[in-house]
Amino acid sequence: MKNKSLLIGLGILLVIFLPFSINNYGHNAESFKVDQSSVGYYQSNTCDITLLDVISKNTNNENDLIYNNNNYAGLECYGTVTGLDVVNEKFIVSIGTNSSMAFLIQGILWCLIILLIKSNQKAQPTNYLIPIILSFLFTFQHIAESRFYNSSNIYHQTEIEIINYYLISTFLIYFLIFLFFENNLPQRQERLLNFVPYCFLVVGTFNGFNINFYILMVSYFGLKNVIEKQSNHLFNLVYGIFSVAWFFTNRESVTYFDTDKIRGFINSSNNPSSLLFWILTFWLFLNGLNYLFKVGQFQKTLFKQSLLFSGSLIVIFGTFGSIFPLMNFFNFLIFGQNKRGINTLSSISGNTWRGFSSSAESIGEFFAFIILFLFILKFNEKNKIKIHEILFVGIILFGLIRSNNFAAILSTILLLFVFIVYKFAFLNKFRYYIFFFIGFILISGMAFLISRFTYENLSTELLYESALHSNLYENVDNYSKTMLVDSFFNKSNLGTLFLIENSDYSTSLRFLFKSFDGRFNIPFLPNFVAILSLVSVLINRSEMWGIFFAKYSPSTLEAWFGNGPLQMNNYLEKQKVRLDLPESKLESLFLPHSSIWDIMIFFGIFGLLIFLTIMFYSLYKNKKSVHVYLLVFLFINLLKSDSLLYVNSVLLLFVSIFATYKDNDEKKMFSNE
Amino acid sequence: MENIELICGLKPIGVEIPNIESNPNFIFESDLNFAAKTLYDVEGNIINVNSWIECAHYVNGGWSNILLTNFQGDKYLAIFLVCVTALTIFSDFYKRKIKNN
Repeated sequence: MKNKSLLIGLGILLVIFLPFSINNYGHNAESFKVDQSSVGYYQSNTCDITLLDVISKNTNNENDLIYNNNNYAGLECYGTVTGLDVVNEKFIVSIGTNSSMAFLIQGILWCLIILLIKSNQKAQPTNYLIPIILSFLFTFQHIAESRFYNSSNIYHQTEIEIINYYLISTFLIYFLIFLFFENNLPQRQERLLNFVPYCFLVVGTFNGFNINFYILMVSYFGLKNVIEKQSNHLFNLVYGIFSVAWFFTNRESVTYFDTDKIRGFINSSNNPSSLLFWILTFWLFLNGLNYLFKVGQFQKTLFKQSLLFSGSLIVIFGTFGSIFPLMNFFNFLIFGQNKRGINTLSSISGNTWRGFSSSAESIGEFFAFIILFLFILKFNEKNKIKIHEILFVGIILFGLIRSNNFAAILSTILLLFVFIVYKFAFLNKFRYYIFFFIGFILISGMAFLISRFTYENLSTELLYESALHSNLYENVDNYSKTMLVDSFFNKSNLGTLFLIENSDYSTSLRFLFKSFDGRFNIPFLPNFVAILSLVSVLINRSEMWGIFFAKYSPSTLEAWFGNGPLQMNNYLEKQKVRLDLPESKLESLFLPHSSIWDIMIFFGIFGLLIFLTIMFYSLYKNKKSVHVYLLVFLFINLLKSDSLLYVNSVLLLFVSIFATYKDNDEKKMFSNE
Repeated sequence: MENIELICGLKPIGVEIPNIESNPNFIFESDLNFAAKTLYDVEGNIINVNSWIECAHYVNGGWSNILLTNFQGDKYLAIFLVCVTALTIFSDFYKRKIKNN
């Protein structure tokens, strides 16, 4: 076993570094120290100097070097310098990382990592049908999302012909990956879910691709689930109805989303083909999760180890990557980050530091999840903490603090407190008093907030923010618009503001206003828009949710069924808005800042209701499971973060649901015994 | 414009391509948010552009991000992969045959 691991380790190192040390043409130009005098030399000797040659001559270079990846370069330039530029006294060295070649290398690399997981069954005969079907499906993405792939690979072609080497190569690499899965995953399927925390370290998004390794993996199990006729018929029927509805939604094929930090788990285009691709892929993905749920085993110790190793390595690699540009470059390629790690140790806007991850919010949630899990495991199972574990926890705590995810920290503390009250008998006696006391403090705090800001202001804050960011009064400047909106809100004259004739603001904002205006009021109950507004203020999301409602403009069908899985184009592009923000921020990506709204965009109100039903049912059914705290934690944080847009966070949520059910099953088993 | 956006990316809001021909002393300002791109002309000359405007200007002048070389990387990769796939399938069948025997 040790020899096997050693061999795999060596293989991994070779796969990573070999392409950066050999020159494809063989006529290697000499490398020099990177400075002003060598800029011209490097610019005229492109694809002739390998990265390792550059490194060897620049170990003590006092200049500020940045290594950028150039996915568009040809295969002959892989691992070599394709350009050198000076921008603001920073020397930007472009390294060729052709997407097709990177796909092959990353595929080999991550498949080798899977081999490190112990297998516990004998290999079954290979079924070639699954690799063939899946390879066709995922190659089809390169045609469906041609705009994305065309800009990331010099060889990209969509014509279906025998000399389309691009499509042939892509198909064959997919085929080899799925063949590897077919030969190696079933033997490991029972233990796989315990390694989900590593998805935060090895993010798995292919370089220059809009697909993630874990989607391939789970889809493999999904197709297996379907072929073995274990798929849930009710789910398939409901999904089928949704799919039909999605084909009738708005498809403005001119809109395009460059995927930004959610690359790998989002639909970049808005055409029927890309919709079809993501409908099928997401269906397989959900079927795959269903399959893993049935065959998987939850092993707490293994899961704990995965959390500790993954969490601390993320912080370590993130820190080194922010100090050493070369490590930053390799982190991106080796781990398949959605976006390059941050290249500075200092915090950015909102005092956050995302380090290795593409989102400070999502990685903060992960770190807090680890702390919560360890704490629960320690006190529930009287688990002894080892010294190296304390070190890991310290590193993870550092990462959590740097991510500055206040909501995650606060919800962890709150849930730990509840856990302690329930866990310890001497506190259990007083638990009603304790919870009464906490409830009293919370209600008093809320009453104070309401008295300070007035109920009228709090209940309309969401509408106010939304109005500011909408395209009401599009002919006046932002300042005048703010003054006008202010004056209507100060006079509580929302009717006049929102009933301006010919104003083309979003349908969701129109719905909020009408609901608030009294048409749907239920006597003795606070208006739901007022509650939503209050919640948004309490969790500091009034501006972000305001922007969401200003932009979200679904048709009736889209409101009920959504735009389709991972389809955000309509949300981002359909409704023209004029955000009330500084000019420098207008180009930024404004995601909804709540996974609840993300689900609503993709699956509509029906989809959201199904999701909430599953969540609450899981909570209710497994209320005695100790892991229910983890589920509550994730659920609270999903309200204010876009975590469900990241495949690793989706898998973590799934494992948490899985853990609560398995815990419950174990308890039932023991009580029967 | 379609070709420019294909090569240089989407046009940033509020940015217009200036009439540079009338200004021989025009200096392109680098944009830190723009990922530097390499463009080639028909003779194989290389230029690295550091802003959307600079990129758009060169694309307008006939430069492209495609370098017409004799090296057909995609072809070699496809041939290599066909060989690897054939070997993999062959070895799998061979192993199965031995097992059955």
